Amino acid sequence: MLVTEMSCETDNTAYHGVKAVTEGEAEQPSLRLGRVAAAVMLSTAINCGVTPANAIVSNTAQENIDWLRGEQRLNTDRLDLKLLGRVRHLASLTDGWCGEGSVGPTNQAICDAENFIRTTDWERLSAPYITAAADGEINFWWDRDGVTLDLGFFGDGSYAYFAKIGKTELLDDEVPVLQPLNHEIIEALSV
Amino acid sequence: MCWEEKESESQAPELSPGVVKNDEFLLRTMFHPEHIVDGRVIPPAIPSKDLKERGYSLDREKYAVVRKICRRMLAQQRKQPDNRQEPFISKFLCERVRNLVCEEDKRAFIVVDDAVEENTAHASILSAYPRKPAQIKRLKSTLLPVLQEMLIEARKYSPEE
Repeated sequence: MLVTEMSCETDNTAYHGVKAVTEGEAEQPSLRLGRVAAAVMLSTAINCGVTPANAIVSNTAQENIDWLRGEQRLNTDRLDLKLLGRVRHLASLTDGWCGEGSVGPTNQAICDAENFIRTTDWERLSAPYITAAADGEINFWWDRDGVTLDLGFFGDGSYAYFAKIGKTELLDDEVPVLQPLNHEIIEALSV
Repeated sequence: MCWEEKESESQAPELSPGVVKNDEFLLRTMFHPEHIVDGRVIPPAIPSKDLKERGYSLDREKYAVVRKICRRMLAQQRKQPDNRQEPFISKFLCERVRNLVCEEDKRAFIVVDDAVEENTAHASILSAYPRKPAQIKRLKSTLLPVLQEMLIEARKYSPEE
């Protein structure tokens, strides 16, 4: 006998591996492929420490597929990507978008806002409401549980903010965009 | 020109009906969801540059022509229909704004009449002193509650006689 009969079952489908055959039958093309498949199956089962009976079930489990998807594709549920998309949308605003005298955000303001998003830990910080003001400012606004933060990018490589945490007021100008937010503010707005 | 002078003298004497008095009602139009979120007016509704230089535009209710306000609102809605789904009018007393104070109890704002040919009822709110961006943001936080107090859906607004 050249090979052993193997069978695996998944749900209601039973797969039967190559049956035991004589040497002469084994040289037929259809069965030669089966011999290779059986060898691979057995090898995989041994290497993965699973029994041949549940190898296919294990390898095709939903959790493995989800993991592969996560590793190989962009996760569009990520907050930072959603925020970047929102800022990019504001880049389409042109002068006059909000009436006479209004200006669209400059390229630098867009870049500054994007860099801030890229360097912020969004697993700690809750999501802001992002919009533009008629003077071209890209504004991030938080308002939750008695804490407010008004943070703006004007296109000069920095941001300015005013925060109110209860009765405490925190404000600053010309903070470089790559500098993280004040830690007290992060604590107050953390998820 | 210091803030007392700006307020006591008309900024457009040929066109303006006179300086803005404390007991006058002022109107500001804004839109949901652009500047009103969850029923609350948000800081970008007040552009920083307007408070610093250009003036935050208002209409003086007793001199305003409602038809002109509506026409202006419709034109603004057409430019950004997704962001300006629902128009609102904020109505507040001039005195409320002039009484606001900021750092070191300094006056926060001035309210001036700066009528233009297309709108003789035009007035503006400006920062009473030169201030940096973060301080302007702090100023906004004092003005927002005033804008919020009497926020009316535009279709329900009618001027007092």
